[in-house]
Amino acid sequence: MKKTMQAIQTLTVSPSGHRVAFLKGQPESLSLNLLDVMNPQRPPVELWANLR
Amino acid sequence: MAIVWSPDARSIYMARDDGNWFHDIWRVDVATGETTAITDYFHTNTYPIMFHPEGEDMLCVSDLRGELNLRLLNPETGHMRKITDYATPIKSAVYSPDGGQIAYTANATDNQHNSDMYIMNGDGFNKRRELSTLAGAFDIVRAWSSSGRFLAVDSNFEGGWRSGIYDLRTATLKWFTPAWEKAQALEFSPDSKNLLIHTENGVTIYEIRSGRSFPIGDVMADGAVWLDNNQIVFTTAQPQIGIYSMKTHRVELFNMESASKDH
Repeated sequence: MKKTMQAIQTLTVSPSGHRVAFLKGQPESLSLNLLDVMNPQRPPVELWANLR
Repeated sequence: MAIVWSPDARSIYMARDDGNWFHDIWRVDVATGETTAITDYFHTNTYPIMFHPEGEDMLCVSDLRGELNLRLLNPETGHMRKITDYATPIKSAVYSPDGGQIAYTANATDNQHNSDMYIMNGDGFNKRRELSTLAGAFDIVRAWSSSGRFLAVDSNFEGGWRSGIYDLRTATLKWFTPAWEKAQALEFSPDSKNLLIHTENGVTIYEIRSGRSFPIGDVMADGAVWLDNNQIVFTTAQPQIGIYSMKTHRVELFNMESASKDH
């Protein structure tokens, strides 16, 4: 259940290639997140929560 | 749902339903998180596709006063200009590398179980049907190589879903996946030498010239993109994000819950 709740989708690389934007969650409560792929061990930054 | 970076990487554009059951295009400022509605048309769905390579207009699809058709959106004013007018929804579209042309998937026939690949000028003029494998089959364009020569296409003309490339120079098709599999082309590598395809065995790299394939493991559909010519970022169902190196053939996985490195 947790896996489904936190599904990641729609990866998009920034023009510089340094960051990846992705959506996480379920269709009724998606969040937009940014991952620094130069330092991928750092937690992703949640840019926008409760999307749908 | 597409996420579209602005060419200067300061903003991200995406479709959002703000509670009225219809999607508008919103802009998110990457530095501040500020969100702004770009389109706001009554009882209309509008979705971003991609920016023109020179960064002025955004190609989008909207069902404003009709079916989902292609429009050019000014992201500053929200003004849209319709460039296709089909009676059935546009399924996909992609700019050529120089932005001079748009390849798109449409159905101009009376058969509901059909779509073909068309190409038009970037301003919407000079439309022509470029590919129709079979009447009653869905041909779908997915990506345009940076070399300008190849288009990534999917088709169910043999029953299953095959993925391959259409060579604009020779007007020929080259299929990479077998007829019995269900596949979907994702995107070309920046140097146009390889194509990512999601198959029943996960995301696979196909070398354009030889057709050789290199699997990178099971990942979700729609969940793999090129970071550069040698690295691919992909998702797993854990949820994790992975980075695959074509040089070392190694995969590194990162847990997106805690973002701690697993392997």
